[in-house]
Amino acid sequence: MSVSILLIPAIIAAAAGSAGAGTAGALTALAARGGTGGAHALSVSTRMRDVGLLCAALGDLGAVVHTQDTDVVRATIADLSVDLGRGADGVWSAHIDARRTIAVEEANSLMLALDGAYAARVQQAVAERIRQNAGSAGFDLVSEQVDEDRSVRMVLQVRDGGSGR
Amino acid sequence: MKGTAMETPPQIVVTVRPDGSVEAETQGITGPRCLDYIGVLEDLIAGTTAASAFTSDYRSTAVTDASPTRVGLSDGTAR
Repeated sequence: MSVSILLIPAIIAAAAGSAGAGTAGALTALAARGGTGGAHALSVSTRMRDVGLLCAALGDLGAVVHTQDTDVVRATIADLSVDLGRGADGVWSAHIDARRTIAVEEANSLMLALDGAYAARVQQAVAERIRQNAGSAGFDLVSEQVDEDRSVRMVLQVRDGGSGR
Repeated sequence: MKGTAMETPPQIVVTVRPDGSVEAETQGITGPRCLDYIGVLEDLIAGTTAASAFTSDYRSTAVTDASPTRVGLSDGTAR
């Protein structure tokens, strides 16, 4: 019997209802406050877990990372301040602030862009992990290609005598 | 990919999607041994299984069409 499997890397928090495969579903506004014409802040829960990939993703968006700690990342993107904190569940939440009113749509757009950049980093990291560890797991990486949808397809051939575990 | 269960070398096709999720499918591995690879793949990508389902090789014991079967998240899970 053969089996088809959907796996979620540990560096992604599974989004409710989407098994981690969706982006918008992973973004949940936790709180928003703002005045008329004043500062506006928005907090958003993400599906991001890895601080290194998170900072790399911020860099991919042109952000300047001012603080990178185990549980805290502070960055600016244009005139937006983004404070990220890791919750007890290991998932990062973002708090966006500015000296002007931020539309919820703008904040969501920023977080979707960050989520996409993070996902791209995860894809690279997972593919590299497979390249590095296939041999020790009992496989030969016999082919690798990038599909039209930017998926990376890798064929692992089971070595003689390989029996999984 | 067309082939036969007898001809297909044991292999796993791993697709790393742009959203970071990973789809893997065993091919040419008949019998319950294919389930052993779930744990191997979890270790390989440092992840957990969100869903799994048997493919057309499920009852393959002789020459058959080993074309993969795509599965949805809610299809019958094997684990």
